[in-house]
Amino acid sequence: MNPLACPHCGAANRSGSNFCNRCGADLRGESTLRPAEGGGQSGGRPAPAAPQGQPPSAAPLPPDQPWLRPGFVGEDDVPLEPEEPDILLDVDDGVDDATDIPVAPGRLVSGVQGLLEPIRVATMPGEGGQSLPGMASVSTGLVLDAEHLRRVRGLMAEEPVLAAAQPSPVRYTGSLWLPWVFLAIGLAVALPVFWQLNRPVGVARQWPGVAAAFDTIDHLQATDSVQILWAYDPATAGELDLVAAPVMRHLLAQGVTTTIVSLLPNGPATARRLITQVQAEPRRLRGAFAERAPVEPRFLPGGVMVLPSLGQEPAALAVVFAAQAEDVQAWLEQVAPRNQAPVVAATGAGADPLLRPYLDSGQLVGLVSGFDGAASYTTLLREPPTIEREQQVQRQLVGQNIALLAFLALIVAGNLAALVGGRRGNG
Amino acid sequence: MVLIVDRTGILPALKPVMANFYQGLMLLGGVALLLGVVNAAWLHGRRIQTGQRDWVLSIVLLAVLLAVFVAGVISPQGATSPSMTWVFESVVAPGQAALFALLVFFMAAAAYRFLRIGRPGGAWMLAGALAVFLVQWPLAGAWLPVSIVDSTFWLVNQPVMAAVRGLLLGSGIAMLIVGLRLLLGKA
Amino acid sequence: MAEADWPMVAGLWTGLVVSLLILSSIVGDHWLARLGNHLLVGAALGYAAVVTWQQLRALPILQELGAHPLANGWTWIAVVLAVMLTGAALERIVFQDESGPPRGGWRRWLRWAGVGPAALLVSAGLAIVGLGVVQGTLGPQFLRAAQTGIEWDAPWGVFLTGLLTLVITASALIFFVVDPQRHLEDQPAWVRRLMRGWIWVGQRAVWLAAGVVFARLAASRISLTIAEFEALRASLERVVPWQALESWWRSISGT
Repeated sequence: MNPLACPHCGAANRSGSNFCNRCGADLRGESTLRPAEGGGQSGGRPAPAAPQGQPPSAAPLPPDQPWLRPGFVGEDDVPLEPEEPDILLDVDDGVDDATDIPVAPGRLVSGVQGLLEPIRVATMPGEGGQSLPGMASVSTGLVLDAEHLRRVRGLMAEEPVLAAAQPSPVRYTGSLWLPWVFLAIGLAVALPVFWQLNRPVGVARQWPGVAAAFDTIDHLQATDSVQILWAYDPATAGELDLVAAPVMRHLLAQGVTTTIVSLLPNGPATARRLITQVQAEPRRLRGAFAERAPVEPRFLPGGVMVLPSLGQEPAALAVVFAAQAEDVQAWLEQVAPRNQAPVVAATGAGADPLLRPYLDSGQLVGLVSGFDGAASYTTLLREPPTIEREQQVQRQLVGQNIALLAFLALIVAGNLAALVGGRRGNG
Repeated sequence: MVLIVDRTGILPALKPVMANFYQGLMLLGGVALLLGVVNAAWLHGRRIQTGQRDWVLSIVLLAVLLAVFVAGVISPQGATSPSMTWVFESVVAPGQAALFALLVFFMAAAAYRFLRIGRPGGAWMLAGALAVFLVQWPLAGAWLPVSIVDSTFWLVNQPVMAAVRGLLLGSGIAMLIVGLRLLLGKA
Repeated sequence: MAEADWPMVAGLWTGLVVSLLILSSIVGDHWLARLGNHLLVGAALGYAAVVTWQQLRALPILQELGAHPLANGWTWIAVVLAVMLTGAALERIVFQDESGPPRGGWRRWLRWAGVGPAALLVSAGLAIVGLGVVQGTLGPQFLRAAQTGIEWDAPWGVFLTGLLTLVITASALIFFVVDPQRHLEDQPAWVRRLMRGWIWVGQRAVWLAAGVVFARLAASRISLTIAEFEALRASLERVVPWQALESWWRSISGT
């Protein structure tokens, strides 16, 4: 089929095209053209009647494409200088289209129908050296062939890559197979227990706040009432029972009246279990205080919302046994401001740093935390030791010694792995 | 507004009203908890009905739940009855303790991966962790100089405490603002 | 050997098996570990339901209503709200697989009925928590941060410590609250530099605190695991003929 010449820019388009591939002019209604005859004519076009001013051989221009009229000036047009040659030559991209369609002289650019007219900045091999004035210096240095064009098109289709950016080397993260970590820490904790190792023992540190807690409870009278919030359950009883036991023993020895509440459904049962265990121990405490059986622990459904109701009851002291700092915080926010009772917290080691601001501000009068807090408090109680309790403390200390060593070893191993991995990555 | 007045304590006559109010909250809270159990049971029932993954385990869960609940409700002592005590001592307590005993393994893995000098903030975290590890290590109690122990206690009681206070204040302000916005309907 | 109490022995074996099933999840997710988890969850939910049921029945307002139903009409409000909440929640639970608005007028009414008690719970909760935060944390902690011992006649150590504490508290608060990209981009350069300095200090202080918390948390978790292994050992000693095994081992090893 004969190609279709664009009436605007003269480019050859496939027969049946709706729009020109080069300038986007509307080709609908144009028929195939015959090969051009002579210069200056867009040959092959069907011959509408030539309007006035047109050469007699030219076909009449369609009325909806006024830009095809010579001398047409659109509102936003910048007319070409008359002496400027029409430089739009057929681009030789290696395809033998067997047409060499001369471009009609005159207006090349008008309107905004996607007609961003390409100004020739590069010459194709085989073309004449025609270019815009002033562009000679550019065009002589830039010669593109078909292969280059294909590469350029390929590059433009890919993701942009910064020329200056170096691809980052694959970083060796030095990851240890996790089961080795689990095995190391599992052995470190299990060995002392199952092999009943008795050393190394060492000494548990007395953290600030333990002595103050002891003094506060030691100054209680038998007529005083103490509110206890039991904010831990069997999940954390492994640690909290260690801390709660000496404090509970001290409270029972003081003979105070205790009210125990819990916001956890399993809290009352956990409290009952510990109190039963404490009461079953031989009562060889210093002094001869009568022990008063604690009131049955209660579960309070509703969470933090119902804590303010406890603030309506006066108390000489409040003791919070909690695994998390949030439970102590909740008591300090909801109950303590109402009944103004001093508060002692007995918590897990992890909650300790988060409760230090409250100890510093005086909202907490004492803080006993972790295995070392439990050991320190037991020392302060100066109780005659029982075998079970001694063994329990001993195993905790031995286990902590070996497990902390394992943690330190893992930290060193992690840093070494990162160091080695960094060197490997940098070559 | 009622809660604010009750908090300030300027109206003592409000006490018995608020006592009933909190009991009402307990009732609603307890009902909500029971409804949560019902929801869990319903979800597992649907899993059985639709034959989803582990539907057999859902049967086990529902059977145990119903058995425990019925045993507790029909017993006059309720949660302190021998059967419930047995359930607590034999299943709930050992199971929950075992679950939380697994945490140390993940903490060890975290220590290996994150307490590294090269990581952002790693050097500072490592410094804080090592100082406290050293002080809480029972073996170090015999040979560690008192000056190091006192320095670590100072570190925990002053700079670290100050940082935690800043975080407490920040989170408190954030909680207050979010709560006010929710109450005023502007969330 | 004393006669074994069979519930105690059964309890020991049950506890041992449940513990081992759950601990086995350390090697990976497998059917036995999931069985242990489901057993635990079923028992824990049932136990929690019993405790809650028992506590609700013991509530003074309900006991009062049971004894004298018409004595105080106000106490019926809580019961009515609880019934409304239950109805709405049950509707949501049963039809949770359906999306879109509820079909059927009675379902819509149920949902509307639940809005009141739910809103009361939420608003009361927010108010209680908000008041508590102001009264229990913000007020005392702000006051304490302000009285940090920065007195002109204080010893140098106390003065410097007070100053350091104040600086770190403020910088940690700024680090938590200020987003440099959002809050500082329109500020003058000197304000940006100052705030970035504060944020730098606060960030390092928070990192240091995180390390301290990690170390104490590690000690806490180690304690939990030691206690768990001790409980396992105690159970094994009671259910397994440990003494027989020990004497057999001694006879083999010659110790």
